[in-house]
Amino acid sequence: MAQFRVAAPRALDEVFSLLPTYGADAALVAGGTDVLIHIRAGKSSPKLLVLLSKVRDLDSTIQVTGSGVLFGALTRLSDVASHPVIRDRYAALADAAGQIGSEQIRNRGTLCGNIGNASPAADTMPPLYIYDAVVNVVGPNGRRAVPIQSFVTAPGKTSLAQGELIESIFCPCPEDGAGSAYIKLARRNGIDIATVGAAAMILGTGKVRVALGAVGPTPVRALDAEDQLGKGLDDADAFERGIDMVAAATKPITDIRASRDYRLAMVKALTREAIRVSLERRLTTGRVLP
Amino acid sequence: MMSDTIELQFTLNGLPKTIAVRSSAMLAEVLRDDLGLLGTKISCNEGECGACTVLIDGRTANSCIVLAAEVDGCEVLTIEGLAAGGELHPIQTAFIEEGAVHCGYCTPGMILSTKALLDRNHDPDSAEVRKALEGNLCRCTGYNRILKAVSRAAGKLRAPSPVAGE
Amino acid sequence: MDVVGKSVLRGDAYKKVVGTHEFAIDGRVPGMLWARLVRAPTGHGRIVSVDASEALAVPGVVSVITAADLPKPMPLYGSVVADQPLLADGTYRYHGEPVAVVLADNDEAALIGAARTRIAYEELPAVVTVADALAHDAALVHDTEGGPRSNVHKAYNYAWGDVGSAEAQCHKIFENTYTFPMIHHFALEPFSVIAWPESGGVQIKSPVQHPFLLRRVVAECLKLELSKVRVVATSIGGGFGSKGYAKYEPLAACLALQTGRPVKISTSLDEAFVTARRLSATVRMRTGFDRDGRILLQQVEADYLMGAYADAGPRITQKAAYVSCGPYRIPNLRTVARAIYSNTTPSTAARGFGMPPLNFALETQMQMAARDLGIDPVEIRLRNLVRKGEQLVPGDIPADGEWSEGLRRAADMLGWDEPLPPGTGRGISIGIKNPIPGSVSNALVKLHADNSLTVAVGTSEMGQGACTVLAQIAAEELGIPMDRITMIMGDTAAVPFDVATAGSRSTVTMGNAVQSACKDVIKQLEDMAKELGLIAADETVQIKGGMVSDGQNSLSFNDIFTRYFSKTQGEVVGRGLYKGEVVAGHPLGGLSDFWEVIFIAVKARVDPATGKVRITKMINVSDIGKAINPLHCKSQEEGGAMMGLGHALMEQMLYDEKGRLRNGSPLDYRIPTTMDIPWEMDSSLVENQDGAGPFGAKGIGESGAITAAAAIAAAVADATGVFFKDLPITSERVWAALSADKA
Repeated sequence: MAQFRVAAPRALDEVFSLLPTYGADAALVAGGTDVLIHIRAGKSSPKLLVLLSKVRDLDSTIQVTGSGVLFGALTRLSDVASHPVIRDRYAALADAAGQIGSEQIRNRGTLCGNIGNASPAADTMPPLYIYDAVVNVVGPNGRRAVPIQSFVTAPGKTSLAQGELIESIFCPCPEDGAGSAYIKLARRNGIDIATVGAAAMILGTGKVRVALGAVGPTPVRALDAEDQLGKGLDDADAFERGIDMVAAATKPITDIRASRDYRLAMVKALTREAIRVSLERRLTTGRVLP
Repeated sequence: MMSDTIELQFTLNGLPKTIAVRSSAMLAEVLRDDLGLLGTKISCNEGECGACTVLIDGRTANSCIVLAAEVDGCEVLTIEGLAAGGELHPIQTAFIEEGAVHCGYCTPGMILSTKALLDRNHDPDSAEVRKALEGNLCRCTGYNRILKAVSRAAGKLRAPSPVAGE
Repeated sequence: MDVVGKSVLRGDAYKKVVGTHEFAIDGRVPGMLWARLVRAPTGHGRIVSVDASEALAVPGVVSVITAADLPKPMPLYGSVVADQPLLADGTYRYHGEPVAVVLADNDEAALIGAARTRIAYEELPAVVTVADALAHDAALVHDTEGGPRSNVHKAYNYAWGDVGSAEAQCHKIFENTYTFPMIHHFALEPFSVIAWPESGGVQIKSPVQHPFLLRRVVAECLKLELSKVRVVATSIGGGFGSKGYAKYEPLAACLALQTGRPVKISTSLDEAFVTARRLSATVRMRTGFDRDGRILLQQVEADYLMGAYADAGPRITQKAAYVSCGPYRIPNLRTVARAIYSNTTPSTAARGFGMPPLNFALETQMQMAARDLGIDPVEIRLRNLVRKGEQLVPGDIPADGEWSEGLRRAADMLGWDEPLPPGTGRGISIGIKNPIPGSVSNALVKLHADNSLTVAVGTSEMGQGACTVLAQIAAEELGIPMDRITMIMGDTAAVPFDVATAGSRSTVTMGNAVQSACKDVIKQLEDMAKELGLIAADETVQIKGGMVSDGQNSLSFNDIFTRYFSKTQGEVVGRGLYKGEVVAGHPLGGLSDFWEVIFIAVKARVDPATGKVRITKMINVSDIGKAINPLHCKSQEEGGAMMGLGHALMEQMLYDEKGRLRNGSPLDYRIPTTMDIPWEMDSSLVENQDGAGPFGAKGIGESGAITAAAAIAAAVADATGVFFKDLPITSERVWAALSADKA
C-alpha cells in the first residue's frame, strides 16, 4: 500500500539534498512504471518517491550528433521506438523499446529507467550492450561515465552510488553499413516480460556482436563467441560452434516462465534469428523498418 | 516542496482544474475518488490491463500507476471528456455499431487507446491497431469486433468533412 | 419479423461508451464500512493466532474480525454442499482463503490494516494435484470427525450398450490420458459486494449471475427466510461463471447484520485468482473404431480436481460427464467421473461447465483416428455425427439440428482443401453441451398507459446482451419499439424467480418466459376488447404489429388499454413461465432444452525453432436455430473461442508443493491480447429455426470456449505430427516435443 511521501523537485540540487535523508528508503521515479508496480506487488516499500519528471536539468529528448546519440534521463520508450534515426541506425534498440510492456507503459517508462531498474529481463539492455553504450551518471559530487557492461551488477542492482542517478545514455554511432536486431520471445505476443531476448549487430567489416537478456543475473555480452560467429558468417559449421559458445556464456534458470533447458535452446534460436535479421538489415539499402 | 498533500493544476477534459490531493495518490484514485469520474475503471491496478487508460498530453497512460503529482501542468482526457456536448465521438459510435461493447469494463480504456492511435495515424492497418491495443485486455469479445470498430471509426474520422484541412 | 433477427444495437452500450455505466465496485452507501480480507499464506494449515494489534492502530480501522467473532458454529455456505466457512475456522484449506476481515472507515485504512494483520500458522501437508489427492496416504482436505477418509467427494457413472463385447469388433482402440490445467476466468471487474441491513433482513448488491441462487444460499447460511434476503444483481463486468455462485456475499451479509452498518467487501484482481477457477481435469479415454472410422465404444475416466470447497464442482463433474459422448453416435459407452477436493482455489462454473477437458480429449482422439485410419478429419466426424432427430444421450432429447451442415460450412470457410504452406496445419473440432436441465424462468411484462413496456426478469446482464435480446423478443411480440422498452433485471425484490444466468440458457428459457408473458398481455387485451365490445367475440382475432383486428375493426393495443382503463391509470401485467422438463430419476433432474453446438476450424503455423504457435485463421460456426441478434451471437462465439485460445496456448494456474499459487496475478497469468488472436477470424450461424427457444432459437455463449482448444491442438498436430495431450500447448512444450522427435 501507498505508505510513501512524494517529492517533486524542480532542480537536480534539490534531488541531491533530498536523497541523503532517506538513503535506501528513497526511490527515484522517472516513468514510474516499474517502481509503482513493485510497490503495489509488495516487492519494495520506499518511504520517499522522488519524481524526476519536473527536474528542469533533466532532458527528455533524443539528441543525434556526429558521434552518436544521447538519450536524456526522461526520454520515453515510445519516443525511442519511433525515432527515425533509432529505427534506422540503432534498430535493435528500437525493436526492444517497442516491445516493452504496452503502449501505455512505453509512453511513461523511460530508457534510463529501464536500465536503472536493472531487471535481468530488461529488453533494452542487450541492444545497449551491443552498441557499447555509456551510462552518464550524475551525483552530488559530479559526473562520471560508466560503460553499460559494468553498470548492472546483479538483479536490481547497479553501480550507482547512493545519491546518484542516470543523467543520460550515450550510444556511439555504429559504423556505416552495420545492421542490428533484437528478437524477443515471451509467453504471448502482446505485453509480456521476455523469456529470452537476443540482440545482434553485424558491422560493415563482418564483425558480429551478440548480447542476451533474461538468461543470467545480468545481461550477457557473448564476447568470446563473437569472433567465432564472425568467422562463421560464411561457414555454417563454424557459425554453429559460435552459437554454442553464445549458449555457454549464459546462465539461465528455471522459473514460471520457462525451464533452463528451453532458455538455453532459445538463446541459440534467437541469436541465429537476430543475426539473420541483422544481416538482412545490413544488406538492405533503404532499409525496411521493422 | 514536499508535503503530504500536493496542489495540482491541470487541464481535465478541456477545463482547468485545481485540486489538492494526497501526494501519494495515483491519478486513477484522484479521478475516481476525488473527482467522481468513475468511467476510469480499476481492474488489475498494476499497469497490465489498460482498463484505467487515460490520455495525458494526448498519449495513453495507465492511470493506476501514474502518480497524480505527475499530471501537474498536463492535459488529461478521460472517457467522460470524449463525448463533446453530449454528442458521441465517432469512436464511441463505432464501438456501439460494431458490437465491440460487451460487459463494458474494458470499454473506456479501449476507446481512449483507440483515440490516441487515430489521432496520430488516420489509417492504421490491422497490425498497427493490434499493436496499439495490446495493453488493453478484454475477456468478453475476443477482440475481433473491437478491431472492426477501430477500423470503422478510422473510416468515419477520415470521411470528407466540410472543414478543410483537419 | 421486424426486430428479431436484426442486429439491434445494445441498449446498455451508450452508458458503457461514455463511462457512466455503474458497476458494484463504483458503489458507495452512506455510513458504509470498507472491508478487506486477510488471507491464508499457504495451501493448508492450522491458524495458531491472529495478531490484529498493528492493524487496529491504523487510523480508520474499526475492527478486525476473525472466526472467533462470527456466530458459532461457523456458518457454512455452498450451493451443492454447504462446506465453505465465512472465514477459515481453525484450519485453512487453500492459499488465499479469508482468515480475517478488516473493517474500516475508508478503503485505504482497510487495505493497510489487512497488510498489518499477522497470522501465526502451522503448515499442514497440501494436496494440489489429482495424484496428490488420490495417493493412499494423502492428507485430507476435509479432515472432519466421522467424515469420509478420501478426497474424492463423489463419483458419477454413466453407461449404455456393452463396452466389453464391443471390444472384439474394434479395428483400432486409442487409449490416452489428457490433462487440462487450472484456468482462471479473468473477468476484468474485480469481486465487490455491498450488503446492508434492511427490513429485518439484508440487502446485497453484487455483480452476481444467479441472484436467486445467491438469495437461497445466503438465507440458508444465515438462517433467514428467503423474503428477508434481497439480492440486487448489478451489471457484471465479466462473469464467465466466476460470479455465478456465492463468493463474498454471505460474509458481507453476515458482517452487515452483525455491525448494523452497510459493509462493502472489495478485492483486487489478484485476489480473483484465489476466489474462483475452472476445474482442472485428468481424462483417461479409450475410443474404439471400426475400419471405416465409426466409433464402436468409448470408456472414460475423468478426474475433476475441485478446490478446497465444493462450490459448483460436483454438479459440473456430473453434468459434463453426462455428455462425454460429444456429438457422436457411440453405441457402447462407460464413463466415470470423480469430483475430487484439493488445497487450491475453490473451483466453480466456468464457460463450458466442465466440457472443455472432455472435449479436448475426445476431439483429439478423433484427430488421431482420422490420421491413423487415413480418413479426412471432416469425413470421420461426418461418419459419427448423430443426425437430426437421432438419439444422442439415451433418454434425453434427440439431436435438434442437422449438425453436418455446420461442420461442412466451417471447413469450407476455412478453405479446408486448400494446400497449406510448410509448417502450417489445419484442425477442426465440434463442441457440444446442454443447458441447465429442468430449469425455471419467470418473466413479468407490464404494458403501461403510454404504450411503453417494462420487462422484469431475473437474468443478469454480464455483457452477453440479455438486456437487448430479451427486449427484442418483447418488441417483436407486442409491436412496441425497442426504445419504449425498459428492462428491470436481477433484483429479487422486483423481478420474478429465475434459476440462473448460465449454461447459455437465457435466450431460450427466459426468452420463452418473456414471449409467453407478452402473449399473456395480448390475451388480456383481446379479452378487454371483447368485453368492451370493440371486436366481435366470436371472430378469429388477428394480432399483428401491436394491432388487434377482427376483419372489420382494427384497434391498437393502446386504444384498447385507454378505453378499458384510462389514459392515467391501469396496467396490463403479463406473466410468463418456462419450466424445463423434469424427469424423476433422471441423473441431471430433467431433459436438455436444446444442444449447444459449435464447429471451429483453424489454421495454425508452428515455428520449429521456438515452438511458437500462431493461429493464422479461425472460423466459428454455431448451430443457433434462430439468431435473435446475429451480431451478438457471432461476437459471443468469438469471445468464447478466444478464451479457448488462451486455454489452448498459454493459460494455467501454477502451484508449488506447499499449495502456494505462484502466478496468481495478471502480471504472471497470461490471457490472449490483441497480438495473440488469429490473424483472420470469421464467424457464421446455421439457422434452421429448430431450437426450443422463441422463434426457434437455441442458446449460445459457452460454445467457443468448449472446443477452440481442441481445434487448435488438432491444427498443431497436423503441422507438427505431434499430438499434444496436455494443455496449454506452450511454446516450450512444442519445442520439447519436436526436439524429442528429432533425437
